[in-house]
Amino acid sequence: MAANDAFRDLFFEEAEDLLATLSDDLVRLSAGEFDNEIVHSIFRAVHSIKGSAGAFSLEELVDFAHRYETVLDGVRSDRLELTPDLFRVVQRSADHLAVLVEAARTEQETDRAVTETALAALDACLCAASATGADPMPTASETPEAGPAQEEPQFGFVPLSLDLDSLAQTGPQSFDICFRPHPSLYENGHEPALLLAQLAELGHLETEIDLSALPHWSAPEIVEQALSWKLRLATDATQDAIEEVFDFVDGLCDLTIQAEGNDMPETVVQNGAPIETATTKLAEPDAAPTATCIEAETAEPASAAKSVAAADTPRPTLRVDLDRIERLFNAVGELIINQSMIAQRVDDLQLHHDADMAVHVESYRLLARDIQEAVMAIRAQPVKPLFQRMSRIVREAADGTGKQAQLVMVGEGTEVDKTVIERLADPLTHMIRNSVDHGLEGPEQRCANGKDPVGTIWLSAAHRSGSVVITIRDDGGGLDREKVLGVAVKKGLVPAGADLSESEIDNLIFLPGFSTASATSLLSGRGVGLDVVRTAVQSLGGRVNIVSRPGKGTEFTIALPLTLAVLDGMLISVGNISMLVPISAVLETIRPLAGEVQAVGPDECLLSIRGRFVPVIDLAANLGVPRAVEADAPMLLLLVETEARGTCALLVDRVHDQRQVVIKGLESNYGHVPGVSAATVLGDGQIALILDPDAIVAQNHGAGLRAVIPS
Amino acid sequence: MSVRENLRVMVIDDMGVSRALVTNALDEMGVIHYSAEADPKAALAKLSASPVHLVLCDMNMPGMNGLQLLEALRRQPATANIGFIVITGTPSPDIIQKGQALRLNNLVAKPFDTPKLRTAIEQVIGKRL
Amino acid sequence: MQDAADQNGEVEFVIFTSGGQSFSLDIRHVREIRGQSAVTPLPHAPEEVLGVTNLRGAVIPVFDLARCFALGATVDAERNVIVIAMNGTQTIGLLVQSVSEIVSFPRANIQDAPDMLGGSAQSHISGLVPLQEGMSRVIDLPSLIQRRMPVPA
Repeated sequence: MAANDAFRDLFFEEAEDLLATLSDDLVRLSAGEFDNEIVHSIFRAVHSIKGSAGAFSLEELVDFAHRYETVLDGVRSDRLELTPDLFRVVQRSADHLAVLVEAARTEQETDRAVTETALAALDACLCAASATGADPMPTASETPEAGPAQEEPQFGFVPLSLDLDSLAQTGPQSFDICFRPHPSLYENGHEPALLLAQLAELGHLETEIDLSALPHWSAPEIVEQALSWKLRLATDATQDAIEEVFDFVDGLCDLTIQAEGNDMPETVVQNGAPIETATTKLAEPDAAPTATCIEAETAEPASAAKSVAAADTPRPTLRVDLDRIERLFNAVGELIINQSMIAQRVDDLQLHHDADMAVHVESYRLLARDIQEAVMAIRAQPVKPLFQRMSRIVREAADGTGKQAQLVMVGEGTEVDKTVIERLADPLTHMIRNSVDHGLEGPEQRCANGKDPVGTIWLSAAHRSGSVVITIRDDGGGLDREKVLGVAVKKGLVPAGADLSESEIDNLIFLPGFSTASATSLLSGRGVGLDVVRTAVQSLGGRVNIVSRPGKGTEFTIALPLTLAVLDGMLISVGNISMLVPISAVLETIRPLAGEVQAVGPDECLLSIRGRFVPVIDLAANLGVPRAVEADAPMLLLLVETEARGTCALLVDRVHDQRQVVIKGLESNYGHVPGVSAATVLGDGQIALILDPDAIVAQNHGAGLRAVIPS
Repeated sequence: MSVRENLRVMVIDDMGVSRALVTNALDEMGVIHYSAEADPKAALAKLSASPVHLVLCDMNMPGMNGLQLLEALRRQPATANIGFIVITGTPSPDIIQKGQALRLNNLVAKPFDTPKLRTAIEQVIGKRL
Repeated sequence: MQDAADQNGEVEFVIFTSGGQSFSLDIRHVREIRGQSAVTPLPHAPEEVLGVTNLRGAVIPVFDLARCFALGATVDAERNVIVIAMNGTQTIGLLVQSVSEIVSFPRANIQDAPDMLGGSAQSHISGLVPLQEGMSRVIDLPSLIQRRMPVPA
């Protein structure tokens, strides 16, 4: 079936959800929680993926899911015992299913051999079961359908026909309606007579007013609620259409609508008994029409929420085109800038006597921040699916290295911007794989060291003061600092005899050029490609850090901004240009003393700081702008951490303050500017450029620096 | 009025993509009156309140499978004679046997296309759509 | 830019002065005209690119039109304005001395630019329109901008 692309996207979204459920269920099973309902749920997830995948002709996926499902069916019907070995196969099959779904989504080739291996493992389980023989298991070839190729006619099902002859002549149906307005109905300006007139438009209406509840004439006043109507409506309209008439008096009356079954002419559905919709939803004050509407759109019927156990009912969601969210996001960015411009303007006017104004400005600020947070929350997603993928990586890496490893996840409900999550997948995969490959020791060594042969990796996420912190901790051997330092010196990354703290030594492994194949074996592999990880994290405006305890393990910490749309930066100026340096790159500000900066060669300067030498880069010269301070003014250096050259010192004119800004692209209206990653609008409406320290350092030409060396 | 303009159908499937595929096929057939439900229990409640002519239902759903839903419908007089077609990826003999006992009207194997679904519906209603 | 359909129709031009000379721009390119506002210089930009300015939250480059036509830098003055122009999806600003009028011409009245020094392709001029007091050069906006944009990253 040529299912179109919209359905395809929907399929992958749902498959992702199902895989997450599957993964959760497997975790519960492995935690020793055996419950047939969990097995059923696993079976259903695999079955649903198979069923939908068939519509998109994803044959490899369907074939695999089918065989997997057969095994799961065996487990759920007690034909297969869930031994630890079988559980392993079930778990690995879930991993492979995820791989196949991902391959289908990205339309990439899969390694058919891997699928064959996975299929063989499943078949082995089925064979083992038939060998023990109590209850024969159907093998793949015997199952009634062998995948999408199956054609009709099938399975000898004889259709049972309905008598629809009367369908063409659906006559009117009668409804008995009981309508008792509350006083509030009148108070809200509704008029029962108008409602009755509307009903009359639907068909033939007989009305009967019920005065029986009227108080005696001697009562002090007429209680309006005492009035009620008994109505009989013969109509072609549906019950929904009748209910619609009463939509506006929802909660303001008691209403019962009964379809009269006996009078129902020979329609297919013979309603033997009247259909009782006891006091329809209209009588429920909380079932506002809008709510019903939203729920209908999201395929979460109101009645579902009530009839199904709360735990089974996912909260109503709405799938929205990402473009619309982007638009909202941009508009909110404008709002924030506009708000700070107004605040600054009001401040400039010095309206101290106008306390009212101050209050308004402040509530505007709070409101704008609230909106910003709410909008950011729309894009925020839990890291759980990402973390779940990591448990697959751990299993794969452990299988590949003959180690035993488990992943413990903490805080997987933590929410982070969707884009951040997407771009975090690669570096995280890298680090997790690294932790298993090189962080954890083999089982023998672990036993020898008095540790559990099964290594543990903790993966956690948490919000901490406006950023999200992700840690990857292992209980492996830790770094051998002596060797790390030795290699760094040998490779010329640090001068011999440099006095580095333990943390500085640990961080050396992130330097490009530090890790090589030979370094890998020396240092139990730590450091392989970690420079790549750091680049990726920094490109997200984050930082990565390492803490290692010899013999006990290593912990990596990634701190990321919650969103990519705003940036924390240090506002500096160089010449007449205001610029922001991403705070993630800034280490410290320094006013060097005489002798701390020395010329080296014709146009290079080095700052000596704590026994290390860092290159000084003249930002003004690099940006091609004249400096705005006297040539003999004291030097002001901003120490930044860069990919290309490690720590560097940027010579700037002034350092103002730290602030959060909304990132604006330069590319759409202009293009790429060397050394500049983007721009932002400051509170006064002026534009400041966002510096890309790495690009500046990489393109550095240090002409004329000697003139500014303090003497 | 033609059958397809009169036929009232409910599609029940917990998977959004399957619902979309079925309702898309109904659109292609020109069936106007259909609704779709994700939750079989909610569907049962709705059908009890306002029956339809024909239900197109997935087999495997959380909480209640297609045949359990059929059984519940057959048990209430108001819904006992609703036409019921199960759509399943695994049309096993077991399903067929239980289905026949419950006066299941037809069975459609996944994956299906519009002509296949149309045929299945026409077999049940005995008319061309 | 010249649709066959309105080959015989009228074209509206915004006429402005830059570097002491008259220029015109098809009004369909012009989004708005604003007073001169703060411009942040861009590093490594050609001299005719004054920098970037804030147009309701969007960051747009501002070109000194006089410099684009080698007429020297536009001198700071009260009357200076920035013509905000659209080139496809790109929004840019052109700093000019003053905007004088909006004039409508029959298409037939637009003359091809005579092949002068460097040829019209290099001059970013797509034609000439007659004015009461002389003539105005019609700016070929895509050509003008394209040469001044940095290479995409």
